[in-house]
Amino acid sequence: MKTRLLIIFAIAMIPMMSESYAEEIKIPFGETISYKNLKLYFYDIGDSRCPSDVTCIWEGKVLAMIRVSNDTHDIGGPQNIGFVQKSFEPYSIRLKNVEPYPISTEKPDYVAVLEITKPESRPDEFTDEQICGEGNIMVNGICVPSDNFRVDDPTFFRQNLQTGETISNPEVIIIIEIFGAILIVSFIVIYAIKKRRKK
Amino acid sequence: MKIDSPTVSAVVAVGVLCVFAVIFAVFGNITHDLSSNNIQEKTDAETLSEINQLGLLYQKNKDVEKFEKQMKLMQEEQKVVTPRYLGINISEIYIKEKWNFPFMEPSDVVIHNPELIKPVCKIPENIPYHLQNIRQSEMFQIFAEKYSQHHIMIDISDERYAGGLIHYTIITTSENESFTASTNFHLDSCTGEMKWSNNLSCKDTRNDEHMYTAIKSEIYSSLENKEFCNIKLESWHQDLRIYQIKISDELHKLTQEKVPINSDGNQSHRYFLDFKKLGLLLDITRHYESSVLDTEKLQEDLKEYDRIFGSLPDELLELLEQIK
Repeated sequence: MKTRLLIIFAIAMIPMMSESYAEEIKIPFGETISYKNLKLYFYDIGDSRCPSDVTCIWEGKVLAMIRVSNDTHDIGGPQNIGFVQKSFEPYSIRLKNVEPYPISTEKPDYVAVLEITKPESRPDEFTDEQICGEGNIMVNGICVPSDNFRVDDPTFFRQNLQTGETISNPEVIIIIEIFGAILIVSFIVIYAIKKRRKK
Repeated sequence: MKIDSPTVSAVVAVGVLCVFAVIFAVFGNITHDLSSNNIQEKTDAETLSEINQLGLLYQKNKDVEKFEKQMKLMQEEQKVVTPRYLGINISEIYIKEKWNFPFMEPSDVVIHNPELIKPVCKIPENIPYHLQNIRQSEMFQIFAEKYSQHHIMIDISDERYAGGLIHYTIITTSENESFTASTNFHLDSCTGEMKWSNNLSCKDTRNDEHMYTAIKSEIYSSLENKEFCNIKLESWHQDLRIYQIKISDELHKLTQEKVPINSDGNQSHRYFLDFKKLGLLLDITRHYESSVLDTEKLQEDLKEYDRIFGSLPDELLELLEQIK
């Protein structure tokens, strides 16, 4: 029964471990907004949507020109509603809407509504540098000095463990501590059983 | 004949009394009518508001059964209230969850649309007042004159997200159900001011063919002819409509293509400019079709087109020349 409960618990935990979060941001026309390490600039608009107060032969569409940039990429272009920009890992940026919906008499002050999704998030929202300290980065859950990190080396993780790199990741520390506690409890139990048998 | 002064006094006194009696009878009745109308309007407004409030509450609590009951109640109440203010029989009220029931609180509309410049107000409380404004409009009167004996449906929808407006659609169906005729009224949710009330749409339900106009002369001639609903466009309008269809088709075709996103930006910029050009042309033709030309938006569209693309295409200029 307990084993079954444990299995159910473990299955229930899987989606929580891979939980994604989405955040909505709004960029007024002609403005740039910073989000984490991204810069998002809403610089032009083409809006042929049928104004809500008139009858039209076609419902029309809207395109927003949005430039997204970070340290390595700078991509701008027309985005229609629902378009997803995936070039800025780990984020995917979706144009949710361009507001307000037009009316025939006034030119609106447009706002682009974007939804930024990050597939796996750390709940504490700290950056690698905040967790590992200045000059360090996090690789496979372990903090290492950024000078030693080589992306192209698949054995990097093992090499670093073998060379005695400091393990400062809290998850690894918890696992080691639990493992140690289990060992101690096992020893006590074995010792108690042996003592009983002797009696 | 000699009339003595007491007789004159008596006649004058009786005359004065009669005048007072007439004044009292006429104005007393009017004021009585006005006050009873006001009480009725207030009661109707309160009833509609209460039904809506409960609808919001049940929606929030996800109480489906009670919510649906409330929606039905709103439909029944509107069926009673609308004829009272429009002065015609209403056969059907169109109510659908999320479309027009329940109406959001103004504060929630603002939360969902923080960029709204115009203030937004409550809907249910204002329905009786709005219906009275609609009744006074010329468009409603000529529409009701032709169609009041037919099946009439009302659809009140929330468009406060676009300029703080409330949209009232009045749709009528022919007896054989082959045609529909409809007209829309947009009223400011706060002031009750009517915007752009002149429009008529005709639909042949057998082939889904749809015609519409916002030109007063065309509306009148359509409503005066014996056919259930048949809009005949004037020649300049017909030409403009053909041009508009051509632009719409080009724009529609463009939007079917994959939007190019690339780092150099040239291809995507070209695509966007084509989209923008066609979009502005479409918008400009829509303005000329609407018969209200002196709008800020038309002037800005024309200025923007001129700034980016130069003068308007010759084909459109010729069409606009016909309108003048």
